Amino acid sequence: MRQSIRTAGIVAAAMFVALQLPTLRAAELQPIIRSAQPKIVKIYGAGGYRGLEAYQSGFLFSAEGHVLTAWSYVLDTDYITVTLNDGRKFEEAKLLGADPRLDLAVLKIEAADLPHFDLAEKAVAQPGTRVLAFSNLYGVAVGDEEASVLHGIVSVVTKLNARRGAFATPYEGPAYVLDAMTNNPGSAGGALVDYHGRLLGMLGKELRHTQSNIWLNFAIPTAELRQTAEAIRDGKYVRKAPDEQAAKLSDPQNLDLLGITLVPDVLQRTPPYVDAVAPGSSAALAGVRPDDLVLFVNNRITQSCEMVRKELELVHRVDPVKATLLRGQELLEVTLQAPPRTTTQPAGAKLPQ
Amino acid sequence: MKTLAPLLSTAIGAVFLAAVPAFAAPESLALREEAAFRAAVAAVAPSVVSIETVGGLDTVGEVLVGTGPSSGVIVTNDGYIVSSTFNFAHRPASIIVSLAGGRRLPAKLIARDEVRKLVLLKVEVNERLPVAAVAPQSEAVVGMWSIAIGRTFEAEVPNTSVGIISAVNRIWGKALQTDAKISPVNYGGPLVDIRGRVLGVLVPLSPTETDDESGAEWYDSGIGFAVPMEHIAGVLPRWKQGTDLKAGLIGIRFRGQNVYADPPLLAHARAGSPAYKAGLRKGDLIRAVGGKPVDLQVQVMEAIQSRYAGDTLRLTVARTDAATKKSETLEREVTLVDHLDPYQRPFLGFLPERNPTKDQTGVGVRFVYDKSPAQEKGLAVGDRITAVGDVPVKRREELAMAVAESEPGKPVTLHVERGDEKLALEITPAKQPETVPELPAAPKAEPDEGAEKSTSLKIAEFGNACALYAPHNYADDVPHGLVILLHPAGGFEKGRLKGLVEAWLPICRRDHLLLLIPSAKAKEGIWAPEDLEFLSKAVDRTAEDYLLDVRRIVTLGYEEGGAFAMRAASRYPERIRAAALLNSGLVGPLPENEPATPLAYYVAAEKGLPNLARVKAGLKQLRDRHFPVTFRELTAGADDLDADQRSELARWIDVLDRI
Repeated sequence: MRQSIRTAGIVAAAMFVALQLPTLRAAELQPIIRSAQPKIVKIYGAGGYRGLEAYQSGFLFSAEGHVLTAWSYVLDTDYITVTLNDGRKFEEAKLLGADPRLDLAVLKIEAADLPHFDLAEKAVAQPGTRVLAFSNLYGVAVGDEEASVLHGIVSVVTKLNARRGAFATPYEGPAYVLDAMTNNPGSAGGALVDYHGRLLGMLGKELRHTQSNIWLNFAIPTAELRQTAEAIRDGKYVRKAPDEQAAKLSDPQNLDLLGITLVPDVLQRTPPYVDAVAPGSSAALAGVRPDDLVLFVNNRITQSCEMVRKELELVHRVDPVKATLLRGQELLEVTLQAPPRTTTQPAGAKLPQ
Repeated sequence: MKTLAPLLSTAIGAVFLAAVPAFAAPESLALREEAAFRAAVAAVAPSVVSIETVGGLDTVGEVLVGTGPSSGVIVTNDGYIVSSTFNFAHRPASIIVSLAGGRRLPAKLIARDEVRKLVLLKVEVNERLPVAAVAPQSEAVVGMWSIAIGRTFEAEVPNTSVGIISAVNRIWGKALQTDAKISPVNYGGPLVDIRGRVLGVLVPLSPTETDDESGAEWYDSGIGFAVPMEHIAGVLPRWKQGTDLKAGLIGIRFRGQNVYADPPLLAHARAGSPAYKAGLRKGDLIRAVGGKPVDLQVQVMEAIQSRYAGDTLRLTVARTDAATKKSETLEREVTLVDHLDPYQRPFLGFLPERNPTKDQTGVGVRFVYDKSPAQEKGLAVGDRITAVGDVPVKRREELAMAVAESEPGKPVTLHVERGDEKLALEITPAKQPETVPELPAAPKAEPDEGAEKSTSLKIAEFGNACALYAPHNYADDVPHGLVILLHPAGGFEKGRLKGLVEAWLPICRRDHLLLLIPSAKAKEGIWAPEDLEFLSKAVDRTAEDYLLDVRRIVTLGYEEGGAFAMRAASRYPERIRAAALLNSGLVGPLPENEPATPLAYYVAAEKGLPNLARVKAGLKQLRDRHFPVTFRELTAGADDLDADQRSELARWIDVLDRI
């Protein structure tokens, strides 16, 4: 019986190939989709008012019912419901733990022998890799209806916060930016899968570029999630302070220490031109001159006087500062170093000898 | 589908899962396509650059502009780079280009293309830069793969989006359309074919708007545009000279309303315009542009809108002699310009009769302006004008249009009947007056029958409240003007509105006016763009129920309502013919001054108005476009006109149909 179905399948597949392309595509994708769907879950929790949807997506990563999903307000309740692909409904799923830094949470439902993704699979996508995204976007699937499948490619692999302030996310690792409209209510926590059926990552929450207001479609790669997800699963997770990285330095750099005075910051976006250089300062020794434009500080673009100051606040006083200057139509690179702090010497007054 | 497909696909799935757990053999079409996408990106990637800017404005219009980075395409190996103006709308002080390898170079902005929203940058390099292959425009067909590329997330790796060509020759023939995701992350970057050859440069475009940012609201919406690379290559030599490429203007207007159905028959060639200089005149029919036959107005518009100022067009024109009915064909070269002198409406100095009078020929004269050109040549009240030049006129509108479209700078010949006498008066037009004449004593006031009651005017799909007052003496055979009273933000206070209605109703009875009082839809009483559409529909509805005088439809706005009054006239100049603003700022964009839409402005502002200087600057802009503007400065703190001023405003309305 089974054999005959297989034969029928092969014949049918061959016919599809011979007949038309759309059917071929669908046929190619079937095994991936059939394999992935039973691992996708629908999650219901808090929300449901004022544009906050009370649902999101997740996927199984153990046979015993561990669910990986996005950490969000939806999980901020004692009554989290997880519905499996086959319609089985688990009320009061347990929130084992969450990592706000990765925007990740792990739920546990009481079940066994569940189909699941393997976080150790180590599939990695490149820009251009074709992907399928599984999620319950807009909460459109209910009961035993399967998750929605979107197709697209990985647009680029990037760090979302590489440009400080561009995206309001605590996540600092690499992300897959997607050429697929996954940025929709309910998508967060869904699974990103390649055309070999391997898990690539978890769909991220709705995210907007803070300056251009452009919505971003992205997923966090499995490799970034694995350690924390497994630690939570195994009960070994120690929560880190989410703002650990962003904490202000106690002894940062500043322009005075380096010997640079910028032009008066009168406009909202005053270009950071050098107004004066303190004689004998690090800047003077490095050859910085008045009217030089400070374009980059440690390779981050500084579009205004304000941004130069902010960048320096992120550098320890003892660390060197690499600055890129525009002089006329010429780009210059200089390395600046603040003088060491001594008890007798006021900061910036004298150079190290 | 529902019955068969799941069974088959499950079966196929079983086969493949059993055979190879990791599906997708190398010959899989999907994966071969994936490989092709990547190869295409790799082929063009070396010539895609990242562009960062320093300094400049934080906002453009009311939009907070992103601070990049954005993308660009290297077009010559000596360092010319093309990008989208979107990234330069904020006029940055410095531009830094990062090449594919990460090397940074300062760049200069050489020139802009205002028609296609592109900029040309130049970096100084000693070596030769990689230039991408160009796909011939003829190979761009709907349905083919098209890959959009930017370099905005990572310096080393471009970001990509895959789609197909959705259409060619979009936006007046200027752009390819794609369903790849086009947004600020790839504006300025290339759209390439499956072989990595550049089809075009990605830009936000809009079929109707021309700002630097318009079209950007369509980001990631399944609609995006690219200017064909072949076109860019063609204009590059000219562009390199450093001259901005601007929209080419010709200075003609067609007769008829439907550009998609009506033939390109000239209603007007503006004085001093390229068309006028080339000898094109009213009544000419354009038969071909550049040797290519045209039948519809839209074909001529497309040919012009895709060209730049400085471009020369060869027009083939058919001209029919009105007297002999003989047609001749003319060939004319027209060189487009980037600026047209605004239209100047000729003023002869009389008011025509409004009611078409039965059994009478021509249009009667009801008032002649003192010291006007018409008076100097002896035109008198009671004269009947039967023709303007060789155009016979029977109705006021025909007379007004014939004068408005008369040959600029030349005398207008009015054929006049005075009793049994027939005269031809040659009148040299003057500028439109800004003063308001004293009119002969108004006809006897109608007996007061008590205050008129308002009726509520509702338009189905709009939630705006709107009251309409018709005077007691309304008669179906007398065309009535329409005064649209627009409230300040938050609406009129009840007492103030009552006072205004009481002041205007006697004027409405005397001057044959209807009074329309709409309210903003927003419950805070703030005028919004949707309210404009309501207003236009409300005017149309009023015209269905009453005989409206199209030349005397006026918006009268108080404070914030004044700006809305001006917007309404700019947006619907064919309906709303004048705007009166009280204690209000002036708002753009200003409309074109056209023969068919004789807009006039009345502005009154109290001395202490905080933005009075800007109001006065706005008046200058209106006058620069030759719109007649009447300005009155009110005593400090005044929130309305006094009785004398209101009666002057009433006369200003009454003479809107002057010729």
